[in-house]
Amino acid sequence: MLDPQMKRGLLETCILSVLCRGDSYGYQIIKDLSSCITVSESTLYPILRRLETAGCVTVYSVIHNSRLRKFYRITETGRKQITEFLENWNEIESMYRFIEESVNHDKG
Amino acid sequence: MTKGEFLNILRRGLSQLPPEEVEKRLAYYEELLNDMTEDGMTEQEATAKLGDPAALAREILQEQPKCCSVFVG
Repeated sequence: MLDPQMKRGLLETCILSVLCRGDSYGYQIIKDLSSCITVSESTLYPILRRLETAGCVTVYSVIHNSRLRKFYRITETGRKQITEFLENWNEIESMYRFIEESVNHDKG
Repeated sequence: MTKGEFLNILRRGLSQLPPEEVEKRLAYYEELLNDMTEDGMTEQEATAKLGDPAALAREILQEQPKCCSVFVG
């Protein structure tokens, strides 16, 4: 099972990526993510709040069918978080290869 | 259950939290429920998908910083 803190960080970045395609709202974000991962409604809420506190997203309300819908918009800070993740990925991948080779070497 | 029932149980379960916190959470879940029913689900289906509101409230209270935990049963 994936380390909870790592998973949370990855989820945050996934959610930010959804917002890269355009501003969105809770239900739509979950739907858009569902092709990749299942995020529960209760998991999404604290992540969105954290992203807002961290300045990675801004929030605004839009009237939809006489009710308010909260939209999230990615900020420059949010975009930077995605860039950093992608840049770090190469390092993570080399470590993965190293670990995998070490295990295979051990078997051989 | 109906949307109203779900939100009432959730609100009661969160009553120990600051009112502003409660309102934000309720607005979030109400919005979701409305989106789900607009998307074709019945209120029964939508509330079932979110899970038991009393359990959800307990989960939310668990996530709160330690200062609130003294009130949790």
